[in-house]
Parts: sequence; C-alpha cells; structure tokens
Amino acid sequence: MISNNKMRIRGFKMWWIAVLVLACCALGSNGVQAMNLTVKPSEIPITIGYGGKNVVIKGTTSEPGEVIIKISSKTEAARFKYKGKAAGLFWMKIGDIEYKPVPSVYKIYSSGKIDEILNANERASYYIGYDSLENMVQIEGGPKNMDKDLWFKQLVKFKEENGLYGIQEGAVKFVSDNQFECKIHWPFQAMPDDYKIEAFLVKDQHVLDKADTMLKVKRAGIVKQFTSLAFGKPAVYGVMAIVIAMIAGFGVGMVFKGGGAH
Amino acid sequence: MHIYLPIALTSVNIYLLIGLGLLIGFLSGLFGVGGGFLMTPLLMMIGIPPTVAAATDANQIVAASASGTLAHWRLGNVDFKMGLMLLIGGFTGGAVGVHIIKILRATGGADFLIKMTYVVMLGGVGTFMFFESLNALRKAKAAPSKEEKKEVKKSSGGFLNSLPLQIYFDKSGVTHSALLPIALGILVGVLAAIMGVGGGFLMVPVMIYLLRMPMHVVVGTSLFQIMFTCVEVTFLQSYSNHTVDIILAILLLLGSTIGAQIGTSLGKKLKGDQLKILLAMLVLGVTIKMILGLVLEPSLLLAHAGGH
Repeated sequence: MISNNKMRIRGFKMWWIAVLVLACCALGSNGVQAMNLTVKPSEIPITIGYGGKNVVIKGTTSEPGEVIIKISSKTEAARFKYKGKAAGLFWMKIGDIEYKPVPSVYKIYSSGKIDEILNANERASYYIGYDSLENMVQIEGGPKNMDKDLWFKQLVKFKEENGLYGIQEGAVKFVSDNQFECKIHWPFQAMPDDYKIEAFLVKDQHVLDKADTMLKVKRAGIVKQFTSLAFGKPAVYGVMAIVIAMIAGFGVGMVFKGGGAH
Repeated sequence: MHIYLPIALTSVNIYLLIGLGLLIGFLSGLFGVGGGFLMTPLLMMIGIPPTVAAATDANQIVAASASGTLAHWRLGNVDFKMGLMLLIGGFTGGAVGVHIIKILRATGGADFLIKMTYVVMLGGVGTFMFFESLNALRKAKAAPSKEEKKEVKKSSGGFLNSLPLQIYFDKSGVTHSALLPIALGILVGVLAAIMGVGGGFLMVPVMIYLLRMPMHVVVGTSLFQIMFTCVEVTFLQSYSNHTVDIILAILLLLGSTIGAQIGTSLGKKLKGDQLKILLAMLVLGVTIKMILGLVLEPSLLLAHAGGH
C-alpha cells in the first residue's frame, strides 16, 4: 500500500514535472516565435499601369520595445560612370566606378532613431544603417586618391534620388503594446526581384528578437510579354517597332489630309 | 496617370510624354530635324536610362518623320533624288563613324571627344546660321521686292563643276555632281554616329549652304532621309542591344506625329530665312545649355553606366 502510494505520488510528481517542462518549452518557444511579420500584398505584379504600390507591413512582438524594419535585396556589384573635371575645366563622365557588394534596394523603417535605440556593434552585424553598408563595401575605379566616404555618400544620394535607398525613422507605429504597423509606398524603380523584409525587436540597445518574410515583385501581363519578345525574339520585336511607327506616322498624315487640316 | 515601360523599367506620366512628343514633333515638321538632340536629354531627365532613351527616340522619329514626309510630299517639298544620294552617303558614313567610336572607346577619352564635337558643331552651325539669316532678313526688309529672286547660281568653283556625274535636281533647282551629296552624306553620317544623334541639325545646314537647296525643300528632303536612317537604327538597337521600348515609343509618337503635321503647316506660312533664324536660335539654346552643364558642378557625381 505504502509503496503503491509512493509510486502514485512519484507518478504525480513526474507528471507535474512533465507539464512544467512542456510549459517552459512552450513559453520559451513562444518567446522566439511570438514575433511575427506579415506584408500585404506579399506579391506585387508589374503590369502596364504600375507606378509603385502601397504596402503595409504588420507584426507582433513578444514584449514592448522598439522595432526596426529592413527591406533589402541580394547584394551585388553596382557600376556607374563617375563625373569629374576633364582638362581641369569641364565636368563630364570621366571613368568607371564600381561598388561591391551593395544591395540594389535598401530601406530602413524604425519606431525610433536607430543610432539611439541600437548599439553600434549590432547595427553593424545586422547591417542596419548606412554606416554598416559603408563598412562592407569595396570601391573599385573612381578618381585617384579618392575619399571613400565621399564616394559612398554619392552612391547613397544616387540611390535615394531613385527611391531605392531610404531611412525613415518613426515610420513604424505601435497600434498596441506589442502590435506594430508600417505603411510604405514601394518604389516603381525597384527591379523585379525577391526582397527580404526583416523586423528586429530592440530593447536596451540590443536585438531581442527578429522575424522575416518575403516580398516578391514580378513582371506580369503585357509588360512580361513585351520583355520576353524584346529579349527572346529581338528581330521580330525590331520589325514590329518599325511597322507600328510607320503605320502611325503615315496614318496620322492621312488623317490630317482627310480632316482638311490645310 | 502612370504607365510602366517594360524595357526602360520605369514608370512615367502619360500626359508628360505625349506633350513632349507633340513639342518635338512640331519642331521636326517645322525644321526638318529629327529632334534627337533635344528628345534624348529630355527623356533622360525624366528617368529613362540613356541607352533606352536614344534607341527609343530613333523609333519614335520613324513615326514623326513619316508623318512629316507625307505632309511635305503633298506640298511638293521632297527631293527624292537628292534624298537617296544623301542616304547612300549617310549609311556609309554611319558605319564608319560607329567604327571610329569603337576604337576611341577602347583607347579611352571617347566621352571628351563626343562632348567637344557636339558643342563645337552645334555652336558653329548655330552661330553661322543665325548671322547669315539675320543678314538675309535685314536685306529683305531693305529691298522687299528682290527677296524672292531664286538663286540658280552654279555651286561655287570650277572644281565641283568638273566632277563627273553632273545631275540636275529639278525639285531643288540645282545641278551637282552625284558625288557631292554622297560625300556630304558620308561626312554627316560620320559626325552623327560619333555624337550618337540622327544628324538632322547638321544635314539641314549642309543642304542649305553647301547644296544650295531652297529651305522648304530642305525640310521635306531631310525628313525623308531621317526616316530611313531611323528605321535602320531602330532595328539595330532592338536586335543587338534590346534597348527599344515600344510602349515609350508609342506614347511619344502619339504626340509627335500630330506635332509634325502642325509644324509643317506653320512652316508653310513662314519664309525660309525666318525658319533658318528660328532653327539657329534653337540650336544655340541647346549649345548654351550644354556649355552650362559642362561648366557648373553637377549635384550628383554618379551617372548610369552606358550611353553618353
């Protein structure tokens, strides 16, 4: 009896321990998985009337804190012509300059000033902020004895003017303690590609948690057809371009006579 | 209202493009120039990559010049014989010019040469035409009755008259050796290829001053010639570089074909010298803009790779 009771108590304990462990695991994994991230729409078709797209990024965090969202493409080499003074007199393109590796698109949105909410080491390791890009980039070509910082800033300026780079501090809003939202206008200049969206929960200068999702930008409809024709059957495409132009030109000429323009 | 351009990979405002087409087509019908020297930089300003801007512009000029040629042909302003000879020269010169550019690119310093050729040619041609037509207009004011005397003067020296294959061009009312328009065609073709333009603004003064053709016939014949040059360019650019954007071309030609008709009918109402001085002012304006662009420090020191 006694031993039976002991067994029962031991079994009961074991059961409780199992429940506790499970609960802990659940809590623990809850801590990791609680941060989630969605983007709407997650696919953007580039059709003939495309002029960029309004996109909403939403997510939840496991606890209150600051949020940084990064949208970026794969890194690659970016080639440009650089301008300088030729013959010491005239500004013109005088040579090639190459930056690598750099993302073609790099957008940061945050709930606060990124320099203040996250420490420099983690900004560098998660590639958050232009400084982190500048640290990893190599510049080839360009003028002799060039100032790397100045020429990196030129790249950022070029990309920002094209809507491809940007840092918007304060663009991430909290709708409740642990629900955030960020409304952006996706730039039409961004090429068709798969873009990674990452969200970081930041507290006391450190990244506590992160989540990611993808945004796919694809050609569709007539845009897709024209592109495949231009690259797949360039001779047909060329003749088509000429025929359309000829018909339009002579057609309008005929119409003007028919309308008695003079 | 926006539209996405599949080859240029950018989104643009439809009305802006139609308006741009209308303006350039108007100038084209009025002066017999393709307008590439104006259109390509304007397209680049609204975000079209330079290579796509130049190639698509050639496609659009096919339409504008077809529309203009038809209008001028009805007015009896197209000298087909002269046009064909200039074309033969132009095609040859174009091929030579493309080759020269390739060699220059390989040795470096091509951009400098291109820009300088551009400024010197535009500036020289513009200044010369401006003062020449200003003088003519002044003289015409002093003695209005003499203004319409037709210059049937034989081309300058005995050397040109001694060349073989002398032909009378009845539409233009001039006699030249067939070799002269062919040689001038080659010259313009080489320069146009180096500068990456159709060459209308060079061909027009060549026809006026060296071939001594009447201004109205010059405009019609130039458009006829440009149409063929641009057909060739459109095909080659589509075939080897994939840089022609049909959607962009269609938007531009909606405006430019109509603009060419309006330009032609306005040109009918103006005198030859008035047309010349207006074209000269336009060319000088573009030259000044280019010089400013060369002298003032640009706000951005990077540019798209490719094109010039």
